[in-house]
Amino acid sequence: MPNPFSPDASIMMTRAAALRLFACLLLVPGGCSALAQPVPADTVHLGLAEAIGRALAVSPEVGAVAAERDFAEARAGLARASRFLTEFNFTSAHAPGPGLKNVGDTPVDALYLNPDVRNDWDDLRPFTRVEVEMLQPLYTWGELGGNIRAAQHGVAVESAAVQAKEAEVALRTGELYYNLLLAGALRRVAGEAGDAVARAKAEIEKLLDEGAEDVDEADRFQVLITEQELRRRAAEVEQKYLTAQAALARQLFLPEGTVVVPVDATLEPVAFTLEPLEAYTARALARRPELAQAEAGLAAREALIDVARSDYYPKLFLGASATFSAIAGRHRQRNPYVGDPFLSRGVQVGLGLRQKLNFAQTRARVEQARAAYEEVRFQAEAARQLILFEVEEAYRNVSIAREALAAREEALRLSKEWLRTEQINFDLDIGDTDNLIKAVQANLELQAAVYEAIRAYNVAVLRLQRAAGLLPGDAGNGTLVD
Amino acid sequence: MLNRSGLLLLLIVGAFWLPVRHALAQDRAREVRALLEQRDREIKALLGDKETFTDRQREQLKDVINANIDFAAMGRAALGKYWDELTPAQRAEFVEVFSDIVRAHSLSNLDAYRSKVTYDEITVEGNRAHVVTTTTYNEVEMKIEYELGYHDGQWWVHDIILDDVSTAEGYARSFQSLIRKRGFEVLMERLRERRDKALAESGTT
Repeated sequence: MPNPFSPDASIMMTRAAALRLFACLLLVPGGCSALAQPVPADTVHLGLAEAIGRALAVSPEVGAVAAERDFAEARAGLARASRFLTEFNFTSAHAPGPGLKNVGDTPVDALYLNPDVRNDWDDLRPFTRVEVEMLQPLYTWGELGGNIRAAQHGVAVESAAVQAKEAEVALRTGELYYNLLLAGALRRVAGEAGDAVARAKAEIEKLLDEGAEDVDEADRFQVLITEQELRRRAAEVEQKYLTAQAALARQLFLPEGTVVVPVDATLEPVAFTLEPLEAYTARALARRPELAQAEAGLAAREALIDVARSDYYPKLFLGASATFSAIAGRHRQRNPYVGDPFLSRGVQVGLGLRQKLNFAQTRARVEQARAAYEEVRFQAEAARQLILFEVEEAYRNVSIAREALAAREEALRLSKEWLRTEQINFDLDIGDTDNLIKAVQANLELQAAVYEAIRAYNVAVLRLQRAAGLLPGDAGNGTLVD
Repeated sequence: MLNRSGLLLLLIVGAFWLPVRHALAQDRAREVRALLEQRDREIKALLGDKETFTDRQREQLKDVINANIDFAAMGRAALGKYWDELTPAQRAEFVEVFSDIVRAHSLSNLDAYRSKVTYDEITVEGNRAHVVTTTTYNEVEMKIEYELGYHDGQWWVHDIILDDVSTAEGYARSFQSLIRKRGFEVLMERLRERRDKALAESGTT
């Protein structure tokens, strides 16, 4: 009879029960006790929110998309900078230049009057030329403004892409975290099964030593063979646990040899209240980054239509340029009709118009921009429908997982009652061995099944959070669940 | 139907009585907690870190562990409708044998009593109390609930629910099934055999 004050209420097995227990324990996922854990080089204890935060901080996937966002920001900066002094260049040139052959000692201010004066390439002098050019758009019919708006919306597109990638990474990290918790839970269940087998084996050995009549060598061989099968299972469950541990460590880009240990001691269902579907739909429409991305994309494409359309009209510019060139040993003639390519200075400032005259090309470019806008508009509508479907699917999956978990938990509770009753019956010699074995088997299988169901439920909740646009934002501030 | 004065009186009495009732429930919850904590402390003090115990120490442990169990109530619940069909002598013998078995087995796993216990919730309704505790054993948390009743000037444990499974109901299913199939005397026969075996295993007569 089980001790009512004893938490573990262990089974009191007879020889026959012990023998037959081996067979059923083999059906338990994992099979038997885990192998000893190697001593880790370093251990990191993480909760779900912390794991997600860490994954987001180091994820190269997020980093790559964030770099694209940075690129878009730089492009927006370029567009803004193009509003003023669209072109502003400075050029200088330095070279040796020829002196002059002054024939007949002509006065330097009358050299241009002497037809015999020549460049003297044997008398090279330092020559310098400096040019400054500037172009300031004054009115472009929306070209500059459109480019700036398109670039700014481009930043919003890329920022939303970063959020979408973060949600993807957060979800994957959450799944890996729950995978590890599940692997640990199954290892514990397997450990319980292994302990039971070990106790049964010890009982067989003891009875053989005592010369019990209803135990023989066949029973012993059966135990030994069973033990080997359990050994195989032990390796399997242990490797699966280590794989889950490694997967999370890789996701977090931890140094080699670092072992991740969840701070949660056991796999428990997340505390979560399922609200009506409409609440999640509304959140998704307000918060899903893909929708923000589509909206920003539409706005950018609209701005680009304005840019293309601006080519129909003449654009007004203010232009200015200044030139200065000098060479040593040559006298500058101030007469404006006398020009010397090695000696000059001048400034030009004025208004200008630029007009593309191939209107057929402009019309084609406008049509292209409109088509691109339509493409994004259709994509946005498709994204909206897909998101609504994702939310609905995720919502229903949470309901399914919740009911499955409740059913599994109730089944487990019933198996515990059944097992308790069979234990009492068995102890009073009124029980049936088969029933006890079946009760043990059902109890162990259902323990594993409940853990599987908890993992499925928790992941379903995470997926719903992601579908509603609540991941990873709410994970970061600790409000991932209720 | 109440008249206006009667309604007013009812409201006044209700307004006065509800806080008093709440305060009483809180006092009783404290009593229950103190009882269970005291029991836990005594068990742990007796256990210490010893691995082996003298017969006297084992008897002491049994007394402390089982001191507050109302075996009569638990036995009555286990027999259900068949309890009423028994004579006082049959009932007395049943309760005696039943308690002997439980007491003998209460020392089967002493490590369990060394586990850390937290008292999560104590609810008192009149002379009934429900206590939810969590015990961490072998690094695994397990819920243990106590159903208590107040009579004869103290609180008595009527049922212990281990990990969502009622001990009294477990006995009830088993005992009543056997009585149904083979009669009360066969149950008593089995219980007596079990008691003798348990006492022999625990080295007690």
